[in-house]
Amino acid sequence: MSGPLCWAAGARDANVVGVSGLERGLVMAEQVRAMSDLVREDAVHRDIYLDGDVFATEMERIFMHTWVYVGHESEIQEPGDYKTTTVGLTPVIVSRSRDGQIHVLVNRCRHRGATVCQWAKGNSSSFRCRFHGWTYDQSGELKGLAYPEGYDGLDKSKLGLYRAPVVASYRGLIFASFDEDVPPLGEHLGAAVEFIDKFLDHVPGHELYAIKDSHRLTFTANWKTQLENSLDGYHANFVHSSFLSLMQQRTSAPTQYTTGKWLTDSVALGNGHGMLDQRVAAGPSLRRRLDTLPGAPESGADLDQFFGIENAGTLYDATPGPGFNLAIFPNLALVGIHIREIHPVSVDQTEVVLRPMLAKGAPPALNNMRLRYHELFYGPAGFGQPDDLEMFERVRRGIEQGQDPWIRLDRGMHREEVVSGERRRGDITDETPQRGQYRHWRELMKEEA
Amino acid sequence: MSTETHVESARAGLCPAPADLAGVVLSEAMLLDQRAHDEWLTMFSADALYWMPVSPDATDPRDSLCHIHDDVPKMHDRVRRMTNGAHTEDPPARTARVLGVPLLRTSTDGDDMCLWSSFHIIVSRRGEQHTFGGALHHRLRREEDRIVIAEKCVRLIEAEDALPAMTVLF
Repeated sequence: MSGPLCWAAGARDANVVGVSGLERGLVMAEQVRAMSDLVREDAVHRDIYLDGDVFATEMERIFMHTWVYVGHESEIQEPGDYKTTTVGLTPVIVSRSRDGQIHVLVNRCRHRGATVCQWAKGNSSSFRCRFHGWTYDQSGELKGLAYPEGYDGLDKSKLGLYRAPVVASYRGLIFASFDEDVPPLGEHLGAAVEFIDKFLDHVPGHELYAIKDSHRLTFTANWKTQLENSLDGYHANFVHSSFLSLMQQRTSAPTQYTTGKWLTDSVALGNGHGMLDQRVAAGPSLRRRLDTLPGAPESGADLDQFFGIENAGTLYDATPGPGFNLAIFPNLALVGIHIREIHPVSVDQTEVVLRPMLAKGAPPALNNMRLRYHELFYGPAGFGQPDDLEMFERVRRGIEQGQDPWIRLDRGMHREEVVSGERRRGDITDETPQRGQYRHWRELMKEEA
Repeated sequence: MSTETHVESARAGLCPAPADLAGVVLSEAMLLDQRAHDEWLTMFSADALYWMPVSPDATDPRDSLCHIHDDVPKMHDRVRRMTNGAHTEDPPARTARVLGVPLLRTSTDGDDMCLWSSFHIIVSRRGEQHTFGGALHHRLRREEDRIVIAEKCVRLIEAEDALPAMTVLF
């Protein structure tokens, strides 16, 4: 724990006293006393996006004490395969040892602290620190060091790389935690499992694997803006108007994302997870977008002939993915056909990694269309995602100073339905999933008694 | 359709491109900096490909994850989005690019001509600047009385790294 909070409660409020006192009367009356009070049911305080102490506390209380997604098993298929990533701010190596076991090792030499692996991905029989030659195997055990006689009885067995004490997979999705007492992964995923399954099963008869290349994006705003946005059904018609209008022109069909009438749901699933259901509202229009892709079969073409297999249409229809977004608190989302990792870098800097999933054993031409579909909207030069990043940065600029420190999250509260326990549903444009994310954030951020 | 010029070394036979070919590459860059997008689109053949792969090892655009992978209709979409509604272009980004001397690959098979040039782009928007660098591969073709771009591949040196929104044309 990082000790008592040095964060000054209400300090930001104090800066703006008298600017718009009437509007903020309520706010000032209920002074924020603890970090968890930065989140109300209907609003969040801007400090959760701007305050460095809040960020440091999140990295400890959230990212060190819950399950964090670190990769898909298909990224490290063979013994010796590894990828580097982060758990919060901690650099880690996700490694597969010769016995097939998966290890999540802190990328920090036990001698003087240098990173022992410099690559995003690869295959290696060992990790050697190039600073003074300490060498670790794929499971993190210290195998050797230079000139050991310089130490008086070094116990190598106690000097392996630090590791996440608990690592677990659900259907290939690898999660790690630095807290041994974290609830079992299955309990943490809870109701989200139903949608993880639907996502991973969306190509009939084919297992999905994550490709090794990825789109990586960076933006100057807090990590939670991306987590919220992965379940935001209110923004699409506006943020993505240029994309939707292109698709309307190319497919000669209306592609409006929502009409504002409750057709389909946004869902809070408990434990901060949530789901945005586009299957009714956007489903058919997603399929029509395939006709616009470079190299796509022409509308009405014989798909069996084009792809060289029988019943190719069933597989091709699955190219846009399962038609919903799923976000697993705090750093994973399954969107379109990609796995999305959210990496906090600093309070106002975030990196996002997107890794499309392809169908094992499907014709290459079909998987190529999956790549084209993903590229159409996503990535730094896609036709959709850049506009999301722009909005994250605009929010940061908008809230940085000024009258109102609270940001509304109350859309649809009056019509939100408690399904059971923590599960709640709203219209796709409602902020039901975000309120679910922040209920969980508040729990994790509470000071320990 | 694959561009293999990226593995070519100077030894493989590269020479400064003749003025008519270099002029295509350099004037294309000028049109982009001047935001003359519609004119830019007319420089391409009807079957052209404009692509920017993620991996420096990518050789076949079809099975490579790309940042940009456009046929001509999608290039038109890209320009239309950029000039009509992309929030990342509100306000618009300005670009200034410097190209190295375009080199012609002399061992080209067939009629198409492959050119290599290095580039450096400064993107300026809303008081912030970002720079990108890399190499351009152009496959040019003589078509009646003009030279058209049949393929343009952008090898961005930071293509595998975390990138900001890139709505500008490279």
